[in-house]
Amino acid sequence: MVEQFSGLSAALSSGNFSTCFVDTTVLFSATYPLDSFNEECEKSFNNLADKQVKILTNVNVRAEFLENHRRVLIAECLIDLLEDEESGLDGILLEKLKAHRTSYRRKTKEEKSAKMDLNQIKIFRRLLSAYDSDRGNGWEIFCNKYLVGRLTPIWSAAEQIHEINFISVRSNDENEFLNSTPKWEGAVSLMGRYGLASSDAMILNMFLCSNIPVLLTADLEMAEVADKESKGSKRIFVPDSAITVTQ
Amino acid sequence: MSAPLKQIKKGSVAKFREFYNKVVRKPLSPEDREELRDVFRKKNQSEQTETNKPKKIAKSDQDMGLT
Repeated sequence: MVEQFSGLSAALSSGNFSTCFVDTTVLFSATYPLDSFNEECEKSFNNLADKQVKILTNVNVRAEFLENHRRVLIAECLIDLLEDEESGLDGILLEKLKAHRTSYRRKTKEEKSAKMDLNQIKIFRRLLSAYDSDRGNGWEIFCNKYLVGRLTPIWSAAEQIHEINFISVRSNDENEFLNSTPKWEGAVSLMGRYGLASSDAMILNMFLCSNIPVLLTADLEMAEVADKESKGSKRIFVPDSAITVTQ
Repeated sequence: MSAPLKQIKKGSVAKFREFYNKVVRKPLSPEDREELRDVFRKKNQSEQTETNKPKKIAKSDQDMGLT
């Protein structure tokens, strides 16, 4: 049974757990102040700290984490560009930026994901690339001025501030957290049997091959598959509101 | 022998929020804004120059004595 974050503290006390796996959704929520699960993740992370439980994750989570932050940061940076340079902009770029700002404000007001659609990013890349200067095209300069300084420090800050530990798999390496070596076939099987995305399947496959007893995720689909596949041997927690929203 | 695991501390999410507001939400410096403005100014100027250029006269129009 998938459990709620509100039951995490009691579960950690009774279970005598020392490690916990966090997936991308939870790590992103804990590091993006506008995310709808941010406060629930804050309480859970404090529960983990109180009970001296260590956080573990893997490289797939790191890659997804950075991709999620890239998509929210580009959305925010484009609004900054509009507000900084509105008088110098014109034509379709100005129209698109204004439409983006309206849509972004509506999404954040409704507490929906502010992650930017990949096609929209491509449109802005094309529009800004039409501007040229000695230092590069408009898109490169936009990235250089707004994005790089914001995106680059995010992972190292998250790793340092949340004291994140990594499980890595190298051939012939024994890993104290793994009961078996995660195999590509295991991930593909999860993709095929449950229709999971490849990155989610790789993350879940590693968790299932590990001896880590607890998973925190804000993705209900991931939670349900993890619960089913672990056959009661692991405890799976999601934010209370993730369950309430879908009911 | 593997390194001991790091331990998350209470208040880490609040601490990250502070980092986010300080580093990620940091506005551009005046120098960066000026440089950015330059890029868009140049584009607008070059478009303006294009608009002010006399239009090329189509050869066929000239031939027909329309200008």
